[in-house]
Order: sequence, then C-alpha cells, then structure tokens
Amino acid sequence: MDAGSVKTFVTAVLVMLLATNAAAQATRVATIEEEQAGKAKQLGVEGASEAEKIIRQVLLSPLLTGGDGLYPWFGSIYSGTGMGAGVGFLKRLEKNASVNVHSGISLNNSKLVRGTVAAPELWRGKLHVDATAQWMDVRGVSFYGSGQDSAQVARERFDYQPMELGGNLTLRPMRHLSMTASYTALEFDTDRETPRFSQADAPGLDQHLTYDTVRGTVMFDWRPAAGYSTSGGFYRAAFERSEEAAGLPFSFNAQEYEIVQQVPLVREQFVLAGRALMTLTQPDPGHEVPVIMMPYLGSGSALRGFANRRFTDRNRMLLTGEYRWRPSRYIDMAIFLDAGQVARDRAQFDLARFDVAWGLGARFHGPAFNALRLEVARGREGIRLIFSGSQPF
Amino acid sequence: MTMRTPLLLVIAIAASSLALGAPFDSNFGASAVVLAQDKQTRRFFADDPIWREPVTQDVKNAKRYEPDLAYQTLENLFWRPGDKVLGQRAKNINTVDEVPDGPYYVNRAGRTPLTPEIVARAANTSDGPAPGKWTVASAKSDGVTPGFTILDSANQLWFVKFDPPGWGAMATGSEVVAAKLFWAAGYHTAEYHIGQLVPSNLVIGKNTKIEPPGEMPRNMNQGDVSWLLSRADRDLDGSYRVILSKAAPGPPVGRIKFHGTRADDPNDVVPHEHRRELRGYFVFAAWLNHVDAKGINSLSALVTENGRRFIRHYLLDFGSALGSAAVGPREGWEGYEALVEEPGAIAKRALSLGFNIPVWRTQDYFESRSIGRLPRDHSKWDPEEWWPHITNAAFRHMRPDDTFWAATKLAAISDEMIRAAVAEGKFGDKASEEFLAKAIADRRLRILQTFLPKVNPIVDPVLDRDGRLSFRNAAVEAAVADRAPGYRALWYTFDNLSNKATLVATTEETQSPMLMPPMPSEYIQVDLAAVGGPQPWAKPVSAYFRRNSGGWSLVGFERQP
Repeated sequence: MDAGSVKTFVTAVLVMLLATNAAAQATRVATIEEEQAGKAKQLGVEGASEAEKIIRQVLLSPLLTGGDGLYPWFGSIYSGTGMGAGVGFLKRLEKNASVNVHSGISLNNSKLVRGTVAAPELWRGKLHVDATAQWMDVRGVSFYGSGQDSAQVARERFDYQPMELGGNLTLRPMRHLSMTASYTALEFDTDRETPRFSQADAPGLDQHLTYDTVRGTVMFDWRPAAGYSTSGGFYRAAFERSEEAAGLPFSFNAQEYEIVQQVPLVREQFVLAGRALMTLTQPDPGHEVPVIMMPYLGSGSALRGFANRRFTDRNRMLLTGEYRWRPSRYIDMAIFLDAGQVARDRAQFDLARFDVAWGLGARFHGPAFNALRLEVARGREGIRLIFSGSQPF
Repeated sequence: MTMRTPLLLVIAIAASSLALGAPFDSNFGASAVVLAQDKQTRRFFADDPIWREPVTQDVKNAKRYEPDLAYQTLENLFWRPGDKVLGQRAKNINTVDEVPDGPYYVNRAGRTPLTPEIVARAANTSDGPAPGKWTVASAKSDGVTPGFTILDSANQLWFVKFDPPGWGAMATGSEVVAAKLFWAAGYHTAEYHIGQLVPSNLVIGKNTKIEPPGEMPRNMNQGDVSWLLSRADRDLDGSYRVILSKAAPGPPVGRIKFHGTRADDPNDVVPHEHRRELRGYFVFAAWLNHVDAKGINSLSALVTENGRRFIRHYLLDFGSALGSAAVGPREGWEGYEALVEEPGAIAKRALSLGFNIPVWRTQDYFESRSIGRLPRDHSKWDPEEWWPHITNAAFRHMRPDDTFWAATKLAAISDEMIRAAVAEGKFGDKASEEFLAKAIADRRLRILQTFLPKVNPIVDPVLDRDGRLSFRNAAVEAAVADRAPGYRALWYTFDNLSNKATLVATTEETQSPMLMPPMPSEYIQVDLAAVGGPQPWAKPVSAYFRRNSGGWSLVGFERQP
C-alpha cells in the first residue's frame, strides 16, 4: 500500500468515524441520548431525604399515630395550674382495650400521675368498663371565700393532694345515648400556709378527707365529635353521692345539669352556640361541702374574664352564648358572653345578680379536636387571657 | 462531552494528515468545525420535531420508594421544592410546542382520532378478572375505606375497592369516569372495570397477612373479610359493587414526583416541574375536580417493552374526583380551597366577622347517592381559582402556554365522549348521569373560555408549496372568542446555525391563508399575531419552516405567554 493509498484509507476511516459521530449529534434524539447516557453513569438511589426521614420518625410517635409506646403528653393537670407537659405510655389491646399511663408537671409545679385501663368492649361495643388510678400534687388552688360577694383581695391559696381510684361502667344502648355508673374512692389533703379564712368559712380545708363517691350520668350527645364540632347538641344529667368515709361532717349529694346546643348557619360559616350549666349540692344535715368539692365559677370555660375559682359556693348556674365564625376550616373565631352566679341556696339565683364577662377568641382545631384556644375576656375585675387545649364547651 | 468529541476528531484528522505527509484537507476540517458549531447553536435538528421522547437507557437499579404523604404535604406547604425560578418555559416539549409521547404521556385527544367507543374502552384490554374464584392476596385495613388485592383464576393481580356505605356507585363510578377521561387526555391509567364481589367467591390466600388497627400483622381470616366488608356499601342481594383495577405490567418503584428527577432513572433528565404534561395535569384535574391529584395517587412501574426496561408513570386512584370524596360525597370546600387555606384569605375572613363568605358555602349543589355532590351550576366556575388539596411544584410552574396546551386537548374531547365515559361509570341513575355529563361538559367549556383566549391562540400553521400560509385559531374554533379582524405576519429568513432571523417582509390579511413573499432561505421564521383582537393575541407566535423537496415543513413553533 503506497502512501497515497494509506492516506486515503486513514481518511476514509476517519470520515466514517466522523460521519457516525456527526450523525449521532445531528439529531435531537442523539443529543437527548447523550444526556441520558451521561446520567446513566452517575445514578443515585431514589429515597427519602433527611428531612423526610425526620418527619416520618415524628409521625410514627404514638401521640400522632395512636399506636403503642411512649408519647409526649400535653394538657392541664388541674384547673388553674397552667399548661402541663409530660410523658405517657399507651398499649392498645384487642376490642379497643388499652392501658394508658401518663405523668406530667405544670407551669406552677403541680404534678400528676394517672393510669387508665380500658377493658375489652362487650356486647358489640355497647358496654365499656374502665378503671382509673390517679395521684396529684396541685399547688396554689385559689379560694376567695364563699358566695358571689366574695372579695377579690380576700384570696388565699392552698395545696391539694388527692389520691383517687375509680371505675366506670358505660352502657351505650343506642347511638348518641350513654349511661354511666361510676364509683370513686378519693382521699385527699388540703394545706394552707397562712390561713385567712376560718374552718367555718372554709369548710374542709386543712383536713384529711376520704370519700366513697357513686355517680350516675345520663348523656345524649349528638355532636359529630365531642372534641370539636359545629353542630348538634349535648345534654347531660349527673347525680352523685359523696360519703365521707371517716365519718367527718362533709357528706353531700350533688346534681349537675348541662345543655349545649350549636346551630350552624350558612353551611357552618357561622355557628350560634349556647350552654346552660347548673350544679347543685345538698350537704347532709349538719354537714358541709368541702371547698375543694364546691361548684365554682371563674376559669377558662366557666365565666371567663374572672380568675380561676373566683366564686365558690354550694350551687352555681352558668349561661354562655357564643357567636362563632370560621375564617378557616382549622380556625374558629368567637365573640362570647358568659353570665353566672354561685349561691348558698338555689333560691338565691337571680339573673340580675349574675356576673357577666365577654370576650373574643380564636380556636385552632382539627376535624374532631381542639388543639389550642386563645381568648381574651373582660369581666368587672379586669381582662384575662385564656390559653386552653379544649373547647369552652 | 458535548463539545469535545468533534473538536478532537478535527485535531485527529489534521494530525493524521500531517503525519502522513499530506496537506490538511480543509473540507473535512470545515465540516467538523461546522458540526462542532452545530452542537452549540443549531436550532433545529434533522429529526425535529420529535414525537416520541427518547428512552435510550435501561433502568437497572430502581428501588421502590414510597413517599410519605404527610411529608409531601408539609414540603409543598412550607418549603416549595423544585426550581425556584418561576415563569420558565416547559423543557420537555418538542420544537413545535407539543409534548412527545413518553413515560408520562401519550398524545391522544387532538392528535389521534378518538371516538366515544375508544374513550369508553380507554386503557382496557380485557373484560376484567378471569372467571372463577378470587384469591385475596392482601387487604387494606388502615384508613377509612376498605380494599383488597386479589388474584383471579389466571393469576392476574387486581386491586379491589368499594363504595362507602350509603353511597352505592359514587366512588367506584366516579373513579371509572375520571380514569377514562384522563386516559383520553393522554395520561397513562390502569385498566378499570366495575364488577360485583360475592363474598362466597372470595378465597383467602394461604399466606395472606393483615394488620388490623392496633394489632400485630397476622394471617388473615374470614372474620377479617367480614369486618372489611362491613365498611363497604352492600347490595340487597348481599354482594358488593366494586371497582377492579389491573396491576401495572411491572413492579412498582414509587410514585410520580412533581419536582426534580428520579435519581435512579437515567432516562429522566428533565426536572418534573418543567414537564408540560405535569404542569397541564392541573387543568385536567380541575376539569374533573380531582382534588386528590397528588403523587401518592399515581404509580411508577418498571416496565419492559421492545427489549427496553424503563419506568412508566400512571395516574391512579380517582375515587376523590367529580362528586365523590371516596368516603362520602364531596365536601363543599374541595376544589375551592387547598387543604390549608391562603393566609390572606383567612385574615380577611377573620376580620370580616365571617361575612366574607366563600362561594362554596352559599352556592347550590346537586347531590345524589349515586354521584355524590357537585355544584349545580358551573357557568361561573373559574378554573384558575380551582385548588387541589395539595399543590405541587409542577402546578406552581404552570404558565399560560401550558394551560393553553391542556385546553386544546380538552377541546378535542367531545360531549359524546364525555357521555360515553360517564356511561362506563354505571351509576344506575339516569338523572344523575345526565347531570354529571353536563357538569363535566360545562366545566370543560369554562376551561376553554378561560385558557384558550389567554394567549395568542394560533395553532397548526401550514405553509404549502404555493407559499400559502394557513393556520387555525383554537379559541375561535372552540367558539369561546370572536374572530380577530385580521392577522399580521412578519416574514424572516432564518439561519439555523447562527439562530439569527432577518426580517424580509410584513404582510397582513383578514384571515388565513396568507401569502408568503419570496423567501430565498432554507429556513424561514414567521411571526404571527392578531390585529385588533384581544390584547394577548397581539403577542406573536413564531413558526419555523424548513424547505424540503415538496415545499415546506413545520419544524418549530413557539408560543410565549
């Protein structure tokens, strides 16, 4: 092969190579193929990002999944103690049986340990049996003296340490209707550092009391969900006998009646809601109702705009009306008006003497639960801010 | 890599010529340089426009990844994944502004002749499960709707879903109708059949497991079947109406993601938020009120066709479409608000004491047990204000040219096709079926009215050998806009290598066709705009033609919003 032939051959080969390459690059398909071939050399693994892994772990917690195991607990330990937090353990069993234990501590250093055992449902879910054991160390419970005319400046504080063991038998014979029979063994101490009220004016304080309490409750609840709802109603009557087991003069009977009605308007854009609550106690002859077990007004859900447990007496009546509107499916706003009175004798109830509070609130909720309630309420004694994890009623 | 090879070849030619003592062949060199330049600046390739998305690599190591729904929700609510630069043109379209057939989409409506019969059949290739016993392979015990997977007597896997109690036909029928119409629009969907489940025909598989709520996984028993069926709508004869969807022809590897690319798919080179069919999915989802249009309601499957192993993406689970919310009738807000509303809207409503009332709370609804709940009147429905439960990156990147593209597909789906799809839902309620078909047609009309006139609606330009340029106006043809008084054409010679256009002439006509002035080049560019029409129509579309032996062929088309 002479030099000319070699040159021609080499040139031809190069032309063929060039032609092949040129053809590959002269088409749209070839350019895309080149890009895909490039990616094929540096493939990765399709999977969750680090952020997704973290979110998955959080979402797997029993608090959010309702599954078994440890969970963080948030809530209220006792009325007026502020927000509480703690840890719980839940074990679910067959037929909605469960064991749930949690403990927590609140902003004012109150403490709680509570265990609940729910037995397997019976009679196709119509019969429920559960038992609860609970210990609390509640700090700084307020007492202003009995009656509607008690003075704000008269407040004294006491600590309350109850130990409680109880059980409930609940029958749900039909939808919405439930009847519960309960027994509670309760033992508690109340301690005051600097008593301001006498034993006669503050019955049961500084004493160790032990109770056997039996209770019967009938409820008709046709709200879509007890935790949050915009329609339906809730009607309850409870009858209770509290027997001071050591023979001290603090045995009494009690009845409580509650009516809640919600009226949705414009496909639930607005909700008119009302509540009436009446609690009556009757001590045995020569007996008194201890302060800690007296009905009271003043809290985030009963006569907002007044301090916690501001009014205490043997009987109470509370009327509440709310105008709610729904700027979001997760946020309700409300303008509310509360009016209530406590009285030693039920004959003393007089609408003209009801204390009144009004305010504005925002509620952050899910489809069936209330997550956070922020309210500002004004009563004759000033303005109060309310932070709560539950519906007002 | 793109630039290097041709340059190396040029150097190699020169070097070999020199080595052989021969003078450098300037022609080869010139050719190679041109090729090198080609890669950098050539606007149109010989095979443009392509109508099939190249799938050139085998997928070898794709592993199944199931995204977490809650994470997806949070991600889209708060972090807004995907390309941060909005307003970019779709990147997977061909040079004539269309989506090539590919793993996500196949051109059907508007490109292939569809008939009501074809739409009614859609993806179906069989008459449903083979006759005989159904063997339960797995059960869905979580959530609020029961479900099974079964193997028929031919060992084919099917997914079985039910209607919620009291709403017979609603979820199953809506899913079938939506699936047929999504298929007609061009998406890959599963094969769907309405069937009847007779409990005595069910056999529990030998190793079938179930994980009841609050329990550990265990072998499934007859009690579990009864429990699952107790949550479904039962017919008077004790059987259950079900929807059967055929398993995809390949192992599942995950779900459609609406941003980025799959790391394990070599063919997946265009970020999904820049895929037009995923952007345009918004329009079709709005049309069918498919509020659950999220990644988890799709399936990516590893399929093998013609010897190539690749990932194909299917839309699935349309139980929350039309008037159905799967577990009950559609809630009023669905389609009008996202799962979490816009903060501005919340603030306005909060400050208004509630008197800023969303339309969905006050409008009239059609409701029936067979089709669920839908607004009674769609004549004022605004598809631009439609919301899925969760938006995504592709929807956020959607531009008016993307919505126009989707609307042109819908324009090709006739009322007869819609009625044929609705009939496949077998709702057994004539009045409700008629309402549903009308509602779907009315929503389609509102989409056409909204999206077609919003950009310059010139489509399908053709330049014949006699130099007559004809085109169509999609908005006028759909009868959603008046004719424009005239059209202006700016004629350019176009240099495909330098991507430069030189204006030659301007012509105006009252209608198509328009006459081309003498144009000496191989490529020409024509900018077409309406004169005196709606303002968006004054923005020209650009058509590119290449001279061929028979005249001119369209190689490029651009519509900028």
